[in-house]
Amino acid sequence: MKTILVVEDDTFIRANLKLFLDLEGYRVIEAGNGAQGMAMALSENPDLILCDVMMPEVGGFEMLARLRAKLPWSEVPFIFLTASVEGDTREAGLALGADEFLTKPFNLVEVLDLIRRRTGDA
Amino acid sequence: MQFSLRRLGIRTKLITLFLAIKVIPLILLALIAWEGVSGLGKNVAAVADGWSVEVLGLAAGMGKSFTQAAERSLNDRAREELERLTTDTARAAADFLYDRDRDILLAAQLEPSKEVYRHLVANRTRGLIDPGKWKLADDGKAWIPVVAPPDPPPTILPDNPENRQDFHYRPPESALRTVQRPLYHEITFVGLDGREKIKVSTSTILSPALHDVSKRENTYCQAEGYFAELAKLRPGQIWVSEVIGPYVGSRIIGSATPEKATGLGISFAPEQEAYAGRENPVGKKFKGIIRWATPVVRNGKIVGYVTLALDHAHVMSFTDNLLPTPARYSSIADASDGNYAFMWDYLDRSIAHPRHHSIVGIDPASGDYAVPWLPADLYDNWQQSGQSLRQYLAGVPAFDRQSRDKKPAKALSQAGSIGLECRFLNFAPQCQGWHDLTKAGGSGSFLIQWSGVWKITTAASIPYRTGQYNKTPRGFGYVTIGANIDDFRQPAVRTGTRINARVDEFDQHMRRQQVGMHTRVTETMAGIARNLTLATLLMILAVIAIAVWLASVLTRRITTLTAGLQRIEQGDFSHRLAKTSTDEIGNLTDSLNRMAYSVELSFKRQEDYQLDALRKSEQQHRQVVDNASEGILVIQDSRIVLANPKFEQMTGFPLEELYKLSFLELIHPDDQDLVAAAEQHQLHGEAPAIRYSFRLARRDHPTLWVALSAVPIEWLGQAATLSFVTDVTESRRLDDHLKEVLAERETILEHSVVGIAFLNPEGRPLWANQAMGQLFGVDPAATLGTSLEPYFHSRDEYLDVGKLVLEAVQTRQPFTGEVNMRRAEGTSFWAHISGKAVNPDDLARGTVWVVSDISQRRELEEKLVRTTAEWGIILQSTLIGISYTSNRILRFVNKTFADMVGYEPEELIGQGSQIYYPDEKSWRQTGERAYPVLARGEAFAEEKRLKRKNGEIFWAQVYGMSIYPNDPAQGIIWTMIDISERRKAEEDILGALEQQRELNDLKSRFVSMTSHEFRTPLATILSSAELLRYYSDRLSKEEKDEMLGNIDTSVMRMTHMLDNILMIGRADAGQLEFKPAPVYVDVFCRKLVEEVAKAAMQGGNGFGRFHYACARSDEVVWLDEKLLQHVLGNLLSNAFKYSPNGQPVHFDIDSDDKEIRFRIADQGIGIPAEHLPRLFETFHRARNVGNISGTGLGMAIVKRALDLHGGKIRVESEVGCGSTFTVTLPKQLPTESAE
Repeated sequence: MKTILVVEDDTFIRANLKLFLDLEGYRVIEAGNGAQGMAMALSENPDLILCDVMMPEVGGFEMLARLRAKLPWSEVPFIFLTASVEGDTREAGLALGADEFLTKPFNLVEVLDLIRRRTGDA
Repeated sequence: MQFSLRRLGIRTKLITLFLAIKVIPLILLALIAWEGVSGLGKNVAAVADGWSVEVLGLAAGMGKSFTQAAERSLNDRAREELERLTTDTARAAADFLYDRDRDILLAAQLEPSKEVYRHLVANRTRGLIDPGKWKLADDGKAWIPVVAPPDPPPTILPDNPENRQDFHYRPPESALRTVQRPLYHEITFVGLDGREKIKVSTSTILSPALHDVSKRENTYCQAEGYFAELAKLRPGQIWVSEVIGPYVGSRIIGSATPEKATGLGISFAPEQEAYAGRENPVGKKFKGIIRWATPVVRNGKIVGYVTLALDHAHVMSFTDNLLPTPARYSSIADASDGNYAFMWDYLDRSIAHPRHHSIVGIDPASGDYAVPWLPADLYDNWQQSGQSLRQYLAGVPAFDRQSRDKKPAKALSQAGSIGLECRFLNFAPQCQGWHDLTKAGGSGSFLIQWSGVWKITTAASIPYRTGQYNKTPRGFGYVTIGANIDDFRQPAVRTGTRINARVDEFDQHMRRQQVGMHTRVTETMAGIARNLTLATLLMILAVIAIAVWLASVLTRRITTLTAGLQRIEQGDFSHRLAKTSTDEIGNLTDSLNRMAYSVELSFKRQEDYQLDALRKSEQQHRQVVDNASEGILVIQDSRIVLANPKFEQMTGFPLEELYKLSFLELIHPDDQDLVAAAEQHQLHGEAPAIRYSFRLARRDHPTLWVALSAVPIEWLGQAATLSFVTDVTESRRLDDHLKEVLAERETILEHSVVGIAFLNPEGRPLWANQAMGQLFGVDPAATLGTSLEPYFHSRDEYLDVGKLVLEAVQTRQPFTGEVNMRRAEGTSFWAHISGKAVNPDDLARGTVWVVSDISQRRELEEKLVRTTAEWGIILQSTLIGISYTSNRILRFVNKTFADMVGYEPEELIGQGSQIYYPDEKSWRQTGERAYPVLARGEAFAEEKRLKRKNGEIFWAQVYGMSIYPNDPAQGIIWTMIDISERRKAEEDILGALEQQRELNDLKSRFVSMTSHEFRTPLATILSSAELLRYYSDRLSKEEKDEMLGNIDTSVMRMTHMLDNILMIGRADAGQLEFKPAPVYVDVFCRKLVEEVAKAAMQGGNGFGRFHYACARSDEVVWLDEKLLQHVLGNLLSNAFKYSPNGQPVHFDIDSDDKEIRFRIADQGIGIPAEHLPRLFETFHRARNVGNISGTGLGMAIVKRALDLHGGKIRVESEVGCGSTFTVTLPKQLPTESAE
């Protein structure tokens, strides 16, 4: 069973993602901000990370930067969920080493597709 | 007196003297001894008295302080216990009420059927203490139980002696008989249409018929409005009513006795008045209910409501049988002795009281609360207002200056309408004390004087908070207990009495001791006085006898001596006295004989002395003459008849030869005539004393210049001259030398290059040198004594200079000046002249002058002035500011420069150049930049800000060049152009560009923010919809409900966003309106708090962080609810949003007559000071918001809504510590149109 870390401050979105991924047969672990997400990423060794950009305290970008600094060799796929439509946000995220960007609102089917591709389940 | 004393004989005097020096001291000694002894006696008594007073004081003081300490500690104990009894009672009451919550929730779960309900209420009973039957005592002054209470059971003693210490036994409380009574009067099931469908009653208090309870008139006392509230309940929520029951009044306050009724002028009918415990056990009881209600849900739908009406007697029982005395419990409450307990609801209304007429109740006729007991002033004002009571009371302040000094309204007392509403019970100040103790949900106590006795009174909030009882921190209300302070002070008072008795006993003992000692001291003193008097009298008698004997012996011998002495006085110096003894009188006789002998001898020596003195005087005169340093001689008939050794030495002739010579032979032949003439003069008496010099012819020596002074004298009866001769050879030599030196000096002056002249006091030359002659082209000798006027250009100039010179000389000053003078041939020249008085103390000595020609220098100077003036015109007329500085001090400025910096040129010269710099720092920095450049010999150029005299700052282009590159500070020429206009134009353009950029920035921030704010809820909606669509079969009912709920919330969130944007748009377009209406502030705010907290919960933290307090919970203020919602809603949600670590948020409301204040304080991230001025700008967000999402609209809306509402907002904030917003709104008076 693959483990997916969902880092998202909006409880509705987080709950929906968890329910959905549970139903799709994944083990889901959750975090409400970048700091919690970082701790979970280190302790739970997830197979993929879904992460919001704008969160209180430690945001998604900072979390990614910290993760890459701490585990430079880690190849865990990192997917950003963002409500921003600006191009430079996307570019900045990719430059930090993100694998994909999903713009809110997103289709769950699309999310599933992306997760399967990135974890090699496709 | 003096006269008679002199005539007394020695004998008498001696006897008197003896008596004086012996008897008086004896008497004095006796007196002193007596004084000392009696003083000692008094002292001993006084010291002993002092000791006893001190000891007594100490004992009394210790007794007092023991009593006080004991009293205080017992008081503290008692207070502590009373407070504890109060809180225990309040907690027990709250627990009881919470049990009722469980009952109603249970009832809601049950199938609504009469059978089931009957079963439920039948099982809900509780014991109430039965007061028993009471009757009026035979004397008609008190009420007594019909059945006398049984004798107290025998007490029990310890079986084991070791437990005997303070073994305290209390018999069982068997006197209290309890009766089981149903808890509820009825249970009902009410349909959604408001009609009662099922009803099970346990009593007849409430109507057993089924009614439409949506109409108040069908409810208990027409006062139950609960059906309207039921519609707001969600499943599981409970509604609890206030205490409702018909008011029972009483015209008798206190014990209901026939005597009292007569005093009030009413008939005695205790059954018609309210029950009042032991004071009126047969009166009408207050019959109240409290109703619980909750929805009944079937298949997820509310199908009706179940209600339970609690018999209020159960609530009253918590305080009615409580006694704050050692008795602890009572079968019947008794308000008469001041020890009893009450209960009040959350609006400070009496709901349990020994006197049922004090409990507020409903007037069943109107369904409103009956008129409570009001103070006289408030009652009168209400009567005059013409308003209904509740309308009137809404407008008066609660707890208005409550004081014992106020009196109740008589009309109400007489009518027996005396329910207690603490808020208006202004003649009972303890009301406000209880209110204060419980307003934050706490408890406590205080002392109060009531009905003339000190009472301790306590209060404790009843922590029951279901439904409307959560409105105030005091929950359901509060319990108060009052106790007479003396009752629980009794042990302390007893201790004090015992100690005081001991002190009194001790005092008596001390007094007896004192009296005994005083008697002993007095007896001892009397003995001493007797002995002392006797001894003194005996000694005086002895002294008198001795004095008489001594005086007789002495007087006889002195008389003999006096006779002998009289003979010697009469000139018989050879008489001698006869000596008869060797004592002091014998010695005196010897002395007188020796004295007579001495007198005899001294007369003989007198003549020898006189001759000897004459001889000595002559010898002294001789010595003076012989040792004089001047020659002294006496000449008579031209012959020397006397000469001293000095004169002998001067002439070189021995004395014996001198006496043979004529005086003229001693004179140098050339001087002989002079001397002879002088001598003749003198001899003829023409000159009494003369002095002259001549040369003395000397034997074998060169002549000697001498000065002679002579005076005529008589010598051996004939005329002669006494002459004194002095050697003056040396002083003649010095005179000659002085003359030579003066001649030399004159030669020097004569040939000096500057003109030198001496003028007499009239200003005419006495002497002038060659140079002076050359200056004026004249022969100096020709000018002597002539006027100097021709050397001046005019007579006026001559006189002017003369006047100046005179002034200088008279003030003892030298005169100097430059004067244009005229030469003899008519040409003019500039002369520098200086002169001073030869002797400032004697102006008659004239003046001395030095004159030199300065024409050439003057000519150069004049030329320089001309050239400078020409350059000056050039410098002053240029349009460029020019200045010259040395060492940063302005030495020259042109007019243009001065105009630029706003000063007059004269103000600037001599000033440091910092005068036109904006500050010291910029002045210093300019210097630091300029000097290295100037030192290289290059020009320094800069554009900089300078300051005008009026403080105005302007831009100038400055250009500087040093004249001395080696030391640039020594002299720099500056040019300056005012370029303010150009700079301003540049700055305007830059400012406009910056504004444009900021605007663009704001717009793009807004777009990205709104995009984020919409997309986040959209993501929830979309994912929820998808889950519902694809997994509907695998989701539980609850999960599906939750999905739908999430969609609802997200849509609401977006709607709220849109509302905010529209609100800003409408506000900016002036379309918002201010529509005030009466608002229950507390209710409104609680609802708002709930909403905001719920929204905040969505982020994981909400309730529990909230600290809400409203000072006047029942206040109604005219406000625009919609605007207020925008203001407070935004501030509250911001407080949560920007406190990311779950810090607490405080929301306090208070108000006064004019305004209402809302204070929202968080401990979050705070607002940086530089952002505060732009806090209310649209889309503006502070830099420290980080990743916290927001639109930048909230505060802008707050500001616009507040402006419309005429309110004010104040912000205090510190980064990292939090922000506090205080919103102040005026209390809008209702206007005609608003109504």
